[in-house]
Amino acid sequence: MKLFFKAFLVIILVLTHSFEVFAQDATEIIRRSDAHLRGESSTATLSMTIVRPSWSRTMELKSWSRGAEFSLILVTSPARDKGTTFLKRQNEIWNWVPSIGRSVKLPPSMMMQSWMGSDFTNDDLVRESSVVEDYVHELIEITTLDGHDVYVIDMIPKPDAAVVWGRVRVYITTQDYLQLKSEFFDEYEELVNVMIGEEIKVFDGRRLPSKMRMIPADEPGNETIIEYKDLSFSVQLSESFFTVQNMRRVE
Amino acid sequence: MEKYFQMKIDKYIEWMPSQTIFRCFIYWIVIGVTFFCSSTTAKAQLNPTFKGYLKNLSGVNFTSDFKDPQWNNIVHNRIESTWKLTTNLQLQADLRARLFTGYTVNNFHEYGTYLASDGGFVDLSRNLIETQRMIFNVQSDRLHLSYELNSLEINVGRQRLNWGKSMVWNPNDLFNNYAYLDFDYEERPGTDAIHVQYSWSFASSIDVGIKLADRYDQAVYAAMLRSNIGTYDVQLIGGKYEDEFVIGGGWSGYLKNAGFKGEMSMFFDDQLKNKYLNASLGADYMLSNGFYLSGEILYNGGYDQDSNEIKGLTDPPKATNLFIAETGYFLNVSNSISPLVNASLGILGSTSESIYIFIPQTSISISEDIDVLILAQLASGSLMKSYTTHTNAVYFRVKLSF
Repeated sequence: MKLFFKAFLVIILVLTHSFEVFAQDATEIIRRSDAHLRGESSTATLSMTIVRPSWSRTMELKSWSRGAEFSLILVTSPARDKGTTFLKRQNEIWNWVPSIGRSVKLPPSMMMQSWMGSDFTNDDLVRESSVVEDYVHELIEITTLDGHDVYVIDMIPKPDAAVVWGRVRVYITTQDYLQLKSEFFDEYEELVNVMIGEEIKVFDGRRLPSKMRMIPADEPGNETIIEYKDLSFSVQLSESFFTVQNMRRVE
Repeated sequence: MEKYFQMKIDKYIEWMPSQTIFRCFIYWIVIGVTFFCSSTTAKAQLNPTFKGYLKNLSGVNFTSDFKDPQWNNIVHNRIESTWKLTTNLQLQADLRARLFTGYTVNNFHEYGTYLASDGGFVDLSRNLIETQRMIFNVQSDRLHLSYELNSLEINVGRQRLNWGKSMVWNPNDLFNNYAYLDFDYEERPGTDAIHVQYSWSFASSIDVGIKLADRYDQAVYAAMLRSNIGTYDVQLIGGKYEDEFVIGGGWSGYLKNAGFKGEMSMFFDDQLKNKYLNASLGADYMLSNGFYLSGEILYNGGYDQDSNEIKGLTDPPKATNLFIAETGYFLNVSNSISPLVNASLGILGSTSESIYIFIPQTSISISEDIDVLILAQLASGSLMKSYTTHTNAVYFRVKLSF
């Protein structure tokens, strides 16, 4: 009887503990995935293709970032836009237009508008909201997606968070915390965008999806594809790299 | 008073050697670039980068009732080159070559002289072909050396110094103001200057600029202090602008969700008399449906009724007199119909004079590197009609970037 009681206690403890783990896990999974994705500093060479039913346009970019607060993006192709840079510091964006040699500060009302005609908004670039801090996370299930075991997690924005979505459902691999898919819903529970991460490659020792596709739900045939050619986490970039002066110097 | 003029003359004499040195310097750059361009070894070592475009602009001017068309055409090739001389030293050499044909060339024989006149301290504009039917003009509007060492940057030569914050009128631009209606000159003019910038934080810097001129009272000496306060980029300027003194400032920041920017410059003579203020104030806002609204107003305190000429609309104005009226306004609405097509409608006018210019335009991206622009400048009002009978202009431009 004593033994049975002990066993029962252990089971209860294990169960309650595992319930706790399960609940904490959702946030912890997001935290790990986010850390895995961002790193401290990173530099990247990438392309962005805007796909529409009857045409497509590709842009080549270079980017430098430090945490979520600082980033600098340089357009290297097409010729028309070559040398154009975008600087993000916290929640502000400056745009350097090389042909006129001038930097322009974007008004906040422009944040929700398309970034260079793509399916990404300016806000996607500068978003200060933290996937860890600004959402409540709930683990829905563990399933498989494209041959990977994935956690399915619902992220609901906290009431005071500056987030435009009503809910974000993310699919994160159980093995190395890679985000394979995110579904963005508005406050009416309508699916707005789907972001898919695919073609996992090793960049600077980290496994990451090399291709991200942003697909608007209500516009068939439209999507924006971001493809990383090179991604490095070994460079240390100080805050002083992300300056208005440096916008015109980077190459 | 006599003493003052003597001082001016002394300064002018002091000024002379530096003129010669600067001119020699610019011509040395020209020779250097020509040499390097022709040397394949140098090309390989300096790893120059080239970019530019070829565009064709056709324009037709009409009378107010769209009669008596006058056709003009410009084939325009721009080449921009950057040469890394050392890790810290870089050369920028840009060339614009334009072939003019049409009504203006055929009917105004002084047009060639006008195009060949450079306006800068060093003459870098030449008409290579000048007949009664066509003018082929070549000009360099950027030709300077840049030295960069950490937070210090020094530029010497023909360059663009952008001290303006506003979109249409820039009282703070003491070096190279531009005419908003000259839409085909996106790069905007350069100036022959020495410019030193030292920066110490992400948006803080001190700039000192000297615009060289033949005479002391045509030169510009000015400094600018730039910083960031909250969400505002702010700047203070001061110096000598030709034969006047100037102090001023500008900002760009946010007013709620709208962009809010402005500039003002107070000009005065050395007796602290004849003070006047030039100021512009602008805002821009993007509606949630994608319509982008922008507006700007100008108070042009230096407006000079006597020097009032129509070319002030399409030729670079002076910082002291930015418009052909004492006040100005510009309102614009634009919308991206698709990522490939952008349309906008603007109106440029004045509350103090009878002038209205409507500017509808559409730009279309045909391919990655080819763009088409259709634009009109439709003017009305008695001020405009007192200058020209052909108040309406429609333009069509094809541009190939490389």
